[in-house]
Amino acid sequence: MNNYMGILSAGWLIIGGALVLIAGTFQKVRRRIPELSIAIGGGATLLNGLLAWFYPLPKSGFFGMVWGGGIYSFLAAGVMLAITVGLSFLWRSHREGGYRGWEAFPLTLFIGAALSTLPASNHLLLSVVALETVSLGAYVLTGLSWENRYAPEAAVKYFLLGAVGFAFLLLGISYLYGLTGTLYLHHLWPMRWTAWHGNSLFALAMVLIAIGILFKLSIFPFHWWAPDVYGGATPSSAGLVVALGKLNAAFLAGVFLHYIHIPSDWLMGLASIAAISSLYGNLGALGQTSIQRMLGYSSIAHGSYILLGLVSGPEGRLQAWGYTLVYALTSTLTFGLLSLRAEPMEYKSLRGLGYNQPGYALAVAICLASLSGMPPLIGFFAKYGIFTAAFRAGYWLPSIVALIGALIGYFYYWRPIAWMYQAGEEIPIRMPALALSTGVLVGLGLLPMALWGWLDYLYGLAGLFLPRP
Amino acid sequence: MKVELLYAVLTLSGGLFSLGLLGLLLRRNLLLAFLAIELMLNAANLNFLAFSRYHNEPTGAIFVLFGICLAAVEAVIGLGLVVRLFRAHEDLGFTKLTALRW
Repeated sequence: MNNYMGILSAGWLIIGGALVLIAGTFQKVRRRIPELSIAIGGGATLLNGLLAWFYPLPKSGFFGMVWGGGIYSFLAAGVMLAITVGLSFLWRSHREGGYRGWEAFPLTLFIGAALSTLPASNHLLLSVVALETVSLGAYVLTGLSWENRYAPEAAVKYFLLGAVGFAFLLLGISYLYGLTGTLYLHHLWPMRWTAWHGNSLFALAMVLIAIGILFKLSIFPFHWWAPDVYGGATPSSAGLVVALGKLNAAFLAGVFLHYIHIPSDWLMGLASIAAISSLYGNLGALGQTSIQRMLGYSSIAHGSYILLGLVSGPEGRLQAWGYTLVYALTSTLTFGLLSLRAEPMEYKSLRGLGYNQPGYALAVAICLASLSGMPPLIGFFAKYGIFTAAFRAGYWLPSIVALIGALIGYFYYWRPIAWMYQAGEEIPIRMPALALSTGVLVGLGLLPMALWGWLDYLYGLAGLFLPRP
Repeated sequence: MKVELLYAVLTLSGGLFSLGLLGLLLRRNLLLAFLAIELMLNAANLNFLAFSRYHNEPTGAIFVLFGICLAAVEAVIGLGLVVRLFRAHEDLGFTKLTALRW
């Protein structure tokens, strides 16, 4: 009995992307490609949301290679939401002449198909193919603009280091296959991992896989490409690139940590690396004068919070996945909003924006505040969840150090906001604008909390809270 | 497949991987860096084949087909990026990549 739920969203996106590609060969339809792609992406979001709502219990299909429904559809819906938002900003840049081609739209749909399959995969072959499809697409998206001086260089750097990380990951998986003789993840679960713990091949496999994942997540010893790549990427697609990289790594790492039992002192080591990485990323972002480069540095810090969640047991993995979805959406929004301005993104160029374009400035300010983790916004709740899980898992020292890093983060996220509201012409904000901003702040905080509860429910239903045998 | 042969192949693939890593670290040229990365990927593929024979199980061999496919796609995208960069810089050395602080 086959169950097609697991490939419904990927199938929709691949067929849709192929149709868009074919449509692109006709001169008349070509102008409509961005709208068409956004419609397909939005359709995938809706489809996955409905699947998660009507089939809360996940089912496996295709020889048990892929899960569908429940938490997996929920994650895919979150992924597709971020991608659709990224596509609409790309559409705007396309219309304004910032990006002249149209190939990025079907490409992003194919990436969406792979990325929504990655967390649902139950077979390492599928995981690796999905992971690499997303990464290769991200390299292309980085170097999208032909006019941008930095984009090609950023793309080449991303490609080189991403490929090296992938080689490490692949070698690690090959040793894992050699040890176990299976690529099915659920076959790995019942294994008596404690018997492997002294095994040197097991240690080698785990170290190689960890290096590969830390490369993709841009964690401290393997982080140095992140500011250059995210700071130099084409502005209209930079948000998508950041989101794809983090989602990719977080999904793969979460799946690995669920099925494989890692010795607890290794987990402690990973948590310590996360703490150092948080300090490094936040301190590095402190000295920047360009917003895009500052966001590049801060992505190292966000990667470290995700890692801290991932190593903190089943609850931490849930929080880390939720955090990654939130971060993906917020960073796509932030980069997208910033790319609407033609000027170089120096802090200084923002002076007086809060008075000249109040709506736009408010939107940017809300995004930055959410990234920093200000209480009424979703970014705070996501961070709160991660740190609670880490404290409960007993990582006291790493959590406190990472928390100090996060506190430094408040400072540099609020600097551009301060620039925006520094005196240009004096146009006082009217009352409706204030009421609206308060409403948005509270709404953004409360609505996703309901979604968070839903995520928690689906996660439990999929059996991901269960202790290992 | 005997264990001795497995060990021999594993040593070979380990050597290939180290060679690739060394090449990546020592050579300051983008095209040679790509060659080095392909070596590293193929070391993993060789491992999969050896383990597949050892376990008498076809999944590893099938994995290699996909792995080669991914490496090919990676070469296509990498060479495309290199051509673009060459048009901008007229040089393929790492040392010219300084528009962004490395």
